[in-house]
Parts: sequence; structure tokens; C-alpha cells
Amino acid sequence: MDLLDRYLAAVAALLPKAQREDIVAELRDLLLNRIEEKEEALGRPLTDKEREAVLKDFGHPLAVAGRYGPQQSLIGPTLYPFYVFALKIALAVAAAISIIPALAAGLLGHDNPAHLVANAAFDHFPSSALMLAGLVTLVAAGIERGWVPLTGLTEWKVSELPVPSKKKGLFETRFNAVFEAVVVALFILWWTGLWKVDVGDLTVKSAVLLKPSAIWQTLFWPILAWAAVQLVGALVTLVQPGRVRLRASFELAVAAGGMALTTVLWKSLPLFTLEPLTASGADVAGLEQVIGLGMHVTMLVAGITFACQIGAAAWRLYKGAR
Amino acid sequence: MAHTMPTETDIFESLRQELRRGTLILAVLAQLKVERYGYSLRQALAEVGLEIDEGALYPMLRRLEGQGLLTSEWREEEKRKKRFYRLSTEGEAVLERLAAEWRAINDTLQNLI
Repeated sequence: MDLLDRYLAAVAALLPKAQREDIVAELRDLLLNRIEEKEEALGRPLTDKEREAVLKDFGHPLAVAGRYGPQQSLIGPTLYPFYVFALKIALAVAAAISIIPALAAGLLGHDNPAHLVANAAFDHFPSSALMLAGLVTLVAAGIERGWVPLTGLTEWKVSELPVPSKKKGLFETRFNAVFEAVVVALFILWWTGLWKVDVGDLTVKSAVLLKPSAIWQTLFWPILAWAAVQLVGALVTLVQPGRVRLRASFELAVAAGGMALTTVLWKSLPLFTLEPLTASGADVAGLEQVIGLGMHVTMLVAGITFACQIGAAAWRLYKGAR
Repeated sequence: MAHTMPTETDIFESLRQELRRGTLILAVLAQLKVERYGYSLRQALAEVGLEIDEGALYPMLRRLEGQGLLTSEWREEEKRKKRFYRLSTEGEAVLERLAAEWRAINDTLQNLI
């Protein structure tokens, strides 16, 4: 088998079966013409090295076969900006998935902070980022080829774009919505036990065991419903930031629900009981006091925040603008 | 990794290629009013000063044929089987419209540059 046959066989292997014979026959004629043209110019037959140079000059078999494909790019220029935006979101989600468990474990004093950071940065983040980026790329390539129908990119209205604000840009609004959606989704997964965060028992420096009080069990469904409404609200903001009244309705529902939950929790204090493991009774009592005070302050702040949010959301619902 | 800034020549070359890309299809269609095979088409284009990379020309011919603008048939010439292309009826109509478009663009640009 001479060099031309070898070259053409390599190209043929990469071509669609239906057109293979046809394209290879045409390429053979073209390459023979090239060789003959050179031979005519030199006035002698080409050496093997010169024939090889002609074939090499024509291009790598992968590139030559690739030019005959129906699709020249994985993700075309129209879709590319949307793809890059989705990739950024995927990376933010990967970062959140990696950081939150490490943060929780760190706050509860379960592991060496340096070890947790290293684990999050070099193990969890790269693997989740690669997985999510791969998924986004697959979906984008599917959209490019028309396998995944997507009307959102073509059927959009200028009137549904968000009203620009001096305080918040569009990017910030959407970024906040993405962040909120990710955090709430992770919370829901954790709350329902679908996402198991391996932080062991709730202990403080392995000296005191924190046991959630019965109120958390009682409020399981109300808290889940509240988080679900918040997730839908964040997704609405992400997809249709211009629907101010719809967004305000969700914000109002979330803030009112938050206020109701805070009130119930306030009445059910303390929210955790402390059981000493290695700590002394005095230490436990001291810690109980600190946690109790912390809970009171947290709930007071939450109550004030929810009250402000209720006011702001109600105002936006009434005015219909940001 | 340090990024090197593209030189003026690089920028010109990329813009030149972009400018030529669309016009090459027009030239190919115009040359195929007469039946030709790929290699002779490339030579005919080169003779009028339009060099085209064969790697791009052959897939382009297939695309144009797939779009119904060209017809083709295999025939033997100079003791070798060659694929001859020529403009289809649909191709002639498209060429006429594209040529009119080209003349209009050319007239407009002549006034601008």
C-alpha cells in the first residue's frame, strides 16, 4: 500500500459511511492532480519524501475529514454567549457545593480547617466543576444541533427585561438569584436528607452534643414548603427578572412565611439542648447562655429583616416597579 | 501563559479571509456555469486571481450540491474518474440574485471608500 492509499484510508475511517467512497474517490483524483502538477514542474517523478510532503501539506486526516462534516463547530457564535453564561453559573454552583459542607464542618470544629479547605479546593471543586461544565457543554451542543428544543433564546420580549436600577445592575440581580437558588436548593436537599453532609453529630469541639429540640420536627413540612417557595421565587427572578409584580408576590410570601416561622421558633426557645460529652457542667451552662443569647439576637434580626422585606415587597407589588 | 498581541498583519489577514469567504461562493457558482471538476475549477479560479484552498473548496462543492445549487456526475477523463460539477437551474437563479446583491454592495462601497 503506497503513501496515498494510507493517507486516504486514514481519512476514510473518519468519514460518514454513506459518503465515504465518493469523497475518497474525489480526494484521490485531487491529490493525484497535485502530484502530477509537481511532477510536471520538476520534469521527473516525485520521490517518496516529496509525495509525503504533498499529502502532509493537504492536512491532517482528522482536519480533512472534519471539513466534510455537517457541523463545523460544537457551539456556534449565536449560542456561545449563553453557553459562557451557563458555564459561569455552573462554576458558581460547583463552588457553593464544595464550600458549604466544608464551612459547616469547619464551624462545628470537626476537622482541621486547612484540611477542609484543601479538600474543598482540590477534590470537591475540580470534580463538581468538571462534571457540571461537561453537562452544560453537552446540553449546549444538543441545543446547537437542535436535539434540545429551546424557545427561551428566541421568544423573549424587550418588555420583560428588568428595569435598570442605579442601585442594582441586571447582572447583580441575576447573580443574587442564582446564588439564592443554589443555597436554597442545597438546603432543601440537606433538609430532606437527599444530600447527606458528613459532619457527624452536631457537637461543639467534640465536648458538647447539640440536640435539636422537638420544634424542628414539628416544623419539618412548613420549613420545607417555605424553602420551596423561596426556590421558585429565585428561579422566577433568574428567568424573568422583568416580572416585578410576580417577583414581589414571591418575596412577600417568603418574608411573611419567614416572619411566621421566626415567631413560632421564638416561642419555642431553646431550639437546641446541650448534652455534655467531655465538658464540665459549668462550661455547658455558660455555652447554653451564649447560644440562648445568640438565638434571641438572631431571631430578632431575622424578625426585623422579614418585616422590612414585607414592607418592600408589598410596596413593589403595589407600585409594580423595582 | 503570556498572550502575544496580534500584529497588524495578523489582523489584516484574518479580516481579509473574512471578507473573501462570502465572495468565494459567488465566484465558484459563477465559474460553474461551465461544467468543471474540482481541480480544473481551482485552476480556473487561480487564473483569474482567486486562490482557494482545496481543503475548503471540495467540502464547499458538496455543501452547494446538497443545497441543490449544483449537480454532479462521475465521468472518466484522462484515464481517471472525475466528478464534474455544474450549476443547476436553482443555482442559476441563486447566482443571479447573489450577483445583483454583490453589485449593489459594490456600488455602495465604491461611494464610501
